[in-house]
Amino acid sequence: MQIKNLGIFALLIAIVVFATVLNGTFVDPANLKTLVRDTSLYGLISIGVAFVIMTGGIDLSIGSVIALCGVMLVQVINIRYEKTEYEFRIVQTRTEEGADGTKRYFLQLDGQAPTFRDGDRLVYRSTTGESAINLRGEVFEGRPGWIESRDSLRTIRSGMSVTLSQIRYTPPLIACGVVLGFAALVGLLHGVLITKVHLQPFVVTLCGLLVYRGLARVWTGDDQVGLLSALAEFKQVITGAAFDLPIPFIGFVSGANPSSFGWVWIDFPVTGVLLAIVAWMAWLFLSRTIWGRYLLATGENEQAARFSGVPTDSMVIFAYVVCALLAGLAGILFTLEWNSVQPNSSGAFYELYAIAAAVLGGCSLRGGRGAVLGVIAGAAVMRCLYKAIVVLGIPQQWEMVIIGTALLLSVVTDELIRRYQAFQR
Amino acid sequence: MSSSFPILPSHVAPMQDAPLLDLAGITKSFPGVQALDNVSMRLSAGEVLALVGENGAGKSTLMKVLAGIVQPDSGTLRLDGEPVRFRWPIEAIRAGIALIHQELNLHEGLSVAENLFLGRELHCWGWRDRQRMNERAAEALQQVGCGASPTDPLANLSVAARQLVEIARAVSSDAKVVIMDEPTSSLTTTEAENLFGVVESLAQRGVGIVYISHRLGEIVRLADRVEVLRDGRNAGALTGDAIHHDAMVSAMIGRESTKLFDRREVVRGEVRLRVKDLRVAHRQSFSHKRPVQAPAIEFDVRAGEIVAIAGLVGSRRSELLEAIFGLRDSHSGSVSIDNHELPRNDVRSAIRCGLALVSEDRKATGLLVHSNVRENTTLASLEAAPRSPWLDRQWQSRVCADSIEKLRIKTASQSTIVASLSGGNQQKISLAKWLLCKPRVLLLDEPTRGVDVGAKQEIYQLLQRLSEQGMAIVFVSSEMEEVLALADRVLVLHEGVMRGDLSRAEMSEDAIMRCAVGIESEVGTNREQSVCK
Repeated sequence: MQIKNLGIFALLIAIVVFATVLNGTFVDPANLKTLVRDTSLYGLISIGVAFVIMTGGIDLSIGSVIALCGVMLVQVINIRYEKTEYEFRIVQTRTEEGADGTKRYFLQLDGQAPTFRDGDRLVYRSTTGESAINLRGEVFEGRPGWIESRDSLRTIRSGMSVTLSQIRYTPPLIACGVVLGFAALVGLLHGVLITKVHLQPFVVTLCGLLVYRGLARVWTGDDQVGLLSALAEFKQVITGAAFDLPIPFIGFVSGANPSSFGWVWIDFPVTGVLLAIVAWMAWLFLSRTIWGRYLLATGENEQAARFSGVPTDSMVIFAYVVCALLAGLAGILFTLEWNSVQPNSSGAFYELYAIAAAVLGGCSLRGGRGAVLGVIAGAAVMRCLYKAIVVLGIPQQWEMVIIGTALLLSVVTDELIRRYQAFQR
Repeated sequence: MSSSFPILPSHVAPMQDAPLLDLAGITKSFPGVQALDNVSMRLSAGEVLALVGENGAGKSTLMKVLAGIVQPDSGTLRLDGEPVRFRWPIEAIRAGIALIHQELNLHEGLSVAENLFLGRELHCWGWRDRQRMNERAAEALQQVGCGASPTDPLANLSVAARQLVEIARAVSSDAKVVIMDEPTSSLTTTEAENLFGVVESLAQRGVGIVYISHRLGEIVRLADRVEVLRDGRNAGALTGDAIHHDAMVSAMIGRESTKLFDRREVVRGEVRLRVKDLRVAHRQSFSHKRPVQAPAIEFDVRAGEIVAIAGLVGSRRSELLEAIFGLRDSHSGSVSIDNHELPRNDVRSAIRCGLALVSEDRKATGLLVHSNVRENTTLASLEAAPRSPWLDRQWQSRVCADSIEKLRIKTASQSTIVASLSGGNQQKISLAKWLLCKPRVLLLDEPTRGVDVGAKQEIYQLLQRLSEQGMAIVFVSSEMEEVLALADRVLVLHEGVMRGDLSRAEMSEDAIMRCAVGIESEVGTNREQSVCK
C-alpha cells in the first residue's frame, strides 16, 4: 500500500477518535449502523467515479442519474390496486401488543379469497367516503382464517362489509434489472460521445446532469413518488441487516455495554455487503487483470497507451459504463432507503461528494492514479465528518464548510508530501 | 580608487575588433548528458558565422543559452563588451538577440503585422496602433524582400514567406544578432537563394548572423567564419579559403571517415513487410478536417534487411510509419506481413501480426514516464502473457529482469519511475517493450534521438543482431551518418512522395540529399525511376 493510502486511513481514524472523545454517542451501535450504511451508499458512487477519474475524465451526472433511476424504479414497479368481486363481512378484530410495545392487528373474515398477499387492501365505506386498510397477509400459525393488517383497526367494526382490492406491481428484481440496464446505456452514451465524437467529459456529463434531472421531473410532473407501504419485504431485505457484526470495546465508550470487553453487536447492512462485493470486484479488475493496467495507462497518457496497443476507447467507455451503473445501483438503494424520490432534489450534489471522496482517496484528476480501498476510506471520511457534525451539535450549516476545508487540507498535504519526496530524490 | 573592472568609460572608443558577442567557457549539463563543455564563440558585427556539428553536438543548446531559453551552469556572455545574463527569453530579445527557430514560431491565426509585433505591440494609451504597425511591418518586409502584405493572414503564406516574416520580425526589432537555425531545411533552391541575399544584406548593415545548417554547400557560399562543435566542445574554427566541405566534415566527425557502426550484411530472406499503394492521410484519424489526397507509397522489406527512411523535416516520414502501424488513417492501400494482409487502422491486430513501432517522442507517445520500468516494459505484451487476462506479476518481474539484463538497462530497480532514467535507458525500455511482443517487423522512428553515444552503439548492435535473426527493420532517421552506417537500403521521401530507393552501393550523403530536396536524382537506377515516375 502506498503512503498516500495510509494518510487517508490515518485521517479517518483521527476523525473517529476525535469525535468519540468529544461525544461517546458517536460510536453508539445505531450510529455506527447508519455510518456503515451511508458510507456504503456513497462508497458505491465514489468507486464508480473513481474509475472515470482514473481514465482522466470526470462524471458530473451521478446525482441526476440517481434521481432518474429512483424515479424509474418507482415508475417501473408501478404499484396499482385492482378491485375484485370478493366481498366479505368482518367477523371480529383483535390487537396484540408485543413485549417491545409494537402492536399487531388481526381480523377474521366470513369468507375465503384465493390468497391474501402482502400489500392487498380491504376497501370499505366510512363516514368520510371510501377508505382502505393495508394487509400484511394470512396468518397460518394456529389461527386459520385470520389475516393480519398493517394499519390500526380502530375504525373497523364487526359486521362491516369490505371488498378485497388486490395489489399489482412489476416484480422488483425485474424493475431493478430495467433500471440498471438503463444506467448502463447512459454510461455507454457518455463513453461513446467522449471517445468517438471527441467531446470533453466535463461537457458531456454536465449536459447529462441537466437532462437526467429534467427528465426525472418531467416524468413525475415534479411530484414526489414513492413505494408507499408496498413491497415491505423487498425493502426489508435490501435495506435491512445482513448479519450482526461484533465490535469490542466501544460498549464502554458509548455506554451501551459496560461489561468485560464492551462487545457491541451492530446490524451490518446489506448495502455494506454490496459495497464489499463491488469493491472486491473493482480491486480485482484494477490490480489483478491486464485491463486494470490498461485503464490506468489510458489515464496516464492516452496517446502512449494507444501507441502500445491499448484499446483506449474501450477502456474509457467501460469506465463511464461502470460509473453510471454504480450510480444506477445507488439510485435503487437510495430510493429503497428513502422510500420515495423527490425528483427536483434527491441526489443533488452527490456527484461532488463522490468526486471529493475519490480525490481524498488518492485519485488524481489528471488520471492514471487511484486505489479502491483509498476511495472507500475517502467516502468514510466524508460520512464521519458529517456524522460528527451532527453528534457534536455543530449547526448543520457548517457541514459544507468543514468538508470542503478537510478536502482542501488533505490535497495540500498530499502535494507537499509529494514535493518533499521528489526533493529527497 | 581601486576599480579595476573592465568597464570602459564612455569616452573611450571600443577596440577596433571588439566582438559584438563573446561567449566564453559556457558549460551546461542535463541529467545524463553533458550538452556543452567549456564552449567559446565570438561574433563581430556584420559577420556571418556558421555553426556546424552533428546532431547532438550542442548547437541548439548553445543557441538556447544565447536566447535566454536555457541557463548555462557556468561561463560568461558579453554583448558589446558588457557582461550580460539572460534569465528569460524576453531579456535576450530586449538586448537585441533574435532567434529564428527551425520550426517557425509564428501564429497562424494572426496577420503578418500582428505576428511581427507580437509581444511588443505599438500602442497609444493601451490601444493597439494598427496603422503604425502596418507601416513599420511593410518597411521591414520590404527590407527582407518579402512580397506579403502586412494585413495578410499568416496562414496564407508559404513556408519560405514565413521564414522571411521571421527575419522581418528580427529586423523590425533592430536586432543586433540574428540566429538562424536550419533556415533552408524546407525551402526550394530559388527560395533559399533569395534568403541568402537577405542574409548578406543584413550582414552589410552590421547585423551579426549566426547561421546553423547541415547543408555545407550553403555554408561555403555564405559564411565568413565557421565554428565547429563536436560532443559539446569546440572542435576548431575555419575562416576564408579554409572553409570547404572536407575540412568541415573532418572537423565535425573528428576523425577521417571512421564509420559510426560497421553493419554486417545479412542474407536476405523472403519478403516480410509489403506496403502496397499506401496513401497516408495528413491528419490523424480523429480529425474533423477532410484529409488531403496523398501520393501512393510502395515498398517491400525482406527478412534480415534494415531499411532506412530518410527525408527532411516535413517529408512525412513519421506519418508513413504510423500509417503502416495502423495509427493513422490511410485512404487506400494495404500492409502485409509474411503475405498476411493487416486490417486497416487497427493497431492491436497489427501488433498481434508481428508489427511493432518504437515511436519518436518517448514522453508523448513512447512511454508512460510516470510509471515504473516494469509496467512500461510489459505494457504491450500483457495480452500475450501466459495468464492473460489476469495480471501475472511474477511473469512481469521475470521478463522485466530478463530485458534489463539483455539490453543492459541501467536502472536502480524495476520499480524505478521511467522519467528519472537517462534518454538512452528510456529508449532501451521502449525497445524492450516491443521486443517482448516478438515482432517480425520492427519499425523505429528516430531510434537514437536524445541517446548518448554508448547507448547508441548498443542499439545499433541490437538491431544488427535482430536482423541476423531474420527480423525486418525499418527506421526513420534524421542523422545521415546513422542512415549510411546502418541501412542496407534507403528510401527517401520528399513531401510525402517517395523520391528515391537507393541500395547500399548507391548510398551517399549527396545522393540522399538530392532526393530529399526533390531534385531529380542523378544516381537514379531503374528501380528509382519507376518510383519517381
